[in-house]
Amino acid sequence: MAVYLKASSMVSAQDTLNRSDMPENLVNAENSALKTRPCNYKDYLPAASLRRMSRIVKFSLVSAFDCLNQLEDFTPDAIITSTGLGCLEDTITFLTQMHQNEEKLMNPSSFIGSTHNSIGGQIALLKKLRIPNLTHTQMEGSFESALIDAMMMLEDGEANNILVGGFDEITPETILLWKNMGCLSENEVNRETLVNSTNKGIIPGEGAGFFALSKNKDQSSKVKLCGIRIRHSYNGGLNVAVSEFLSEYDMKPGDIDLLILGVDGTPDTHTLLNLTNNDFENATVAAFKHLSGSFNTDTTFAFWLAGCAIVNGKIHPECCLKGANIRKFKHVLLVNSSKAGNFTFIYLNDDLE
Amino acid sequence: MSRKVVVTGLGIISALGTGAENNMIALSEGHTGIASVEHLKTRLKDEFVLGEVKCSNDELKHLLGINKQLLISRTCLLAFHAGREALEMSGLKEDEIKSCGLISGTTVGGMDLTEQIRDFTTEKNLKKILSNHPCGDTTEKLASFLGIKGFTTTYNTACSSAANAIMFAARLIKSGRADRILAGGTDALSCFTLNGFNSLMILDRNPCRPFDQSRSGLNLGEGAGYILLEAEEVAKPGKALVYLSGYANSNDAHHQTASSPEGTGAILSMQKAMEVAGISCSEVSYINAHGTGTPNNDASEARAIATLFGPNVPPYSSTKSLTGHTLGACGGIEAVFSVKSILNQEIYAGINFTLSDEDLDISPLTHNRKGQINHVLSNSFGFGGNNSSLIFSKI
Repeated sequence: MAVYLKASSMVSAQDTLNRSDMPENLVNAENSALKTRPCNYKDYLPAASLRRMSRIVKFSLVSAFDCLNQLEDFTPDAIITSTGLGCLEDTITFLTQMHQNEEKLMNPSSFIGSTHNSIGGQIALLKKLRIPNLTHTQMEGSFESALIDAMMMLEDGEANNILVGGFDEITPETILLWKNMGCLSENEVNRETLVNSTNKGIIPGEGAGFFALSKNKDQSSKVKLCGIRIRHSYNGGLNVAVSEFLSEYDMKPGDIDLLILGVDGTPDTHTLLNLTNNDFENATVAAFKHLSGSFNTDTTFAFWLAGCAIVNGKIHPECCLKGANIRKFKHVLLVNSSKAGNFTFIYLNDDLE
Repeated sequence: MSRKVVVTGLGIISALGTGAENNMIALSEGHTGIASVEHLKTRLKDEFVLGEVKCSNDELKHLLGINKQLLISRTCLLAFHAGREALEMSGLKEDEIKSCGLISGTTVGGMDLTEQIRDFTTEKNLKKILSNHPCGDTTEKLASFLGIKGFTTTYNTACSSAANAIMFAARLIKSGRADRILAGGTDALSCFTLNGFNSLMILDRNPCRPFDQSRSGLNLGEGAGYILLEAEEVAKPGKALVYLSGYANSNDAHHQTASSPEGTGAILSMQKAMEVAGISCSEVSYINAHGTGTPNNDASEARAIATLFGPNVPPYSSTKSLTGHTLGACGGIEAVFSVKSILNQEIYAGINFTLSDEDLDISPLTHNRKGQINHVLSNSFGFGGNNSSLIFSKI
């Protein structure tokens, strides 16, 4: 059964909101982190509620509503969100207040905002959507976990349309924490250093991506989502695991036109590059974490990028590690890895027949 | 494919005790687990009563055979106890456990460790402590402790987390995507949640009184509850305890933390769960209500039950009067109670109820009752208007 991607919206460090391709001009990390570009919240959210919302709630709602606004006849039957760490700013605010006030006279706002499902809840509340509303949180596999849930609901006839999204944030405190723990990249991370560097740390990032999925095809169906897999253990190496996954769709690595890898400049993700040694001989190889920054749900950025590549037939040269950046991208595979050694695969194509 | 889903294992740890047997003794005798604070290090110690698990972390580690020095969250330790018990009961072999999936709910993850850091700049164990923080890490540690290598993920939808985890597991099995999944939830008490609920002014300083006119808030509790779900066709002969026949999640879309006075979301989730189970209102034998003891939740939930069931309101009660509100774990803990109700053909009343709200002409069960128990409906409602219902049915 097919699941179609009807609309996408990405709020990131790059000027991706309201666009269906990567902007010409790219932003580099500042103070070793990639924060989301400020957006005009008032264009999307009721002014009266802005004051009580933390930054992640605001930029995630912007992404969700921008996605819904792109479609006229899309009524979601479920909202499935994902986040690795939830609303950190509010969590830290409440913890700090708790320590400073010695557990007295606490303000509940940041506690209410700190729950992982507060963004899913706000979407339901502001759009009056009395439908299933679920929040996955499985570190680097959070977004993939939500996608699996969404695909299942569509395939099993529990829903026709689903709004699915992922989000995570950084705060000055978390950047400092990364630094103190030696997890922050000591060097600039760019297209070259992603592949060759021996950085011990990463460029932390943040963002929110929301996607309208449907089992019905019409003129707004642009991309087909074929499959998602989270591999917690694998025998025989990553190449074998990828081939096994693709074979479920009668595909082999040589059929892939665009391979998007979650390389982040640390040796941990060099395993991913091994994929390109023998297999995937016909694929353009792309990377994204130097543009999005690393965060638990950063594959939302890659997912958005994959959709854009299929629709536009090009990717930004700065994403391109190998092969032509302007060509027809019919079959796209995303491969990401987690610190714990798990791998995630997402396969999309343009097969709209 | 549409397969029937059976429950073949139960595991629980709560304020009522360690293991299903101890919990059921307390439940049938009406012994409460809610008491003065003994283990949680909080300045609010003398102000509230809690449903603490009556073991220190060292005692929990000892019972599990874990090194005392190991830095690990209490949330994990609770999960290990309940997860292990559920797998033992199911009688799965090592290779069957390996291919089993795990879907867990939690709201705090490793917060009990994180909140002890007073100064992030001087803490020496920073990396180790914070690696326990993510909710997803709790689930990965549980999988690794039990030897589970199948699909593993976590829900955090506040107080309906475990119920949603069980629902997701059931959908995976029913549709043929998985054969066996351990599902449920875990949450340890933390100062973070205690202060959070206190700041919302929904905690009762005295033992909570679900559905009673005088109720004035909830008591927080902690624990873990997991059930092993299997496709009926792969379950070993004689191991199937009950069917998990219905499930649903909906949203109230009324307020961030409060439920609508009409209980719109609750009606939707109960109704949908009955549809999935293929049963009518008159067939529900008992409702294990969410029943936190807050004025708002209980009014909304009771109103929803009265509206939906009309003349057929089944007996209902809240076991949170004995366990406290265990947040992300309550759907798992109450799933164990619901299954036990069917197995024992007995429903449990909870305590501290005297009088219903004046505008309500229904009231909860006040004494344990033996009888024909065919279908039990279990409700779990969370912040963000998140409403979930599960239905367990006699085989």
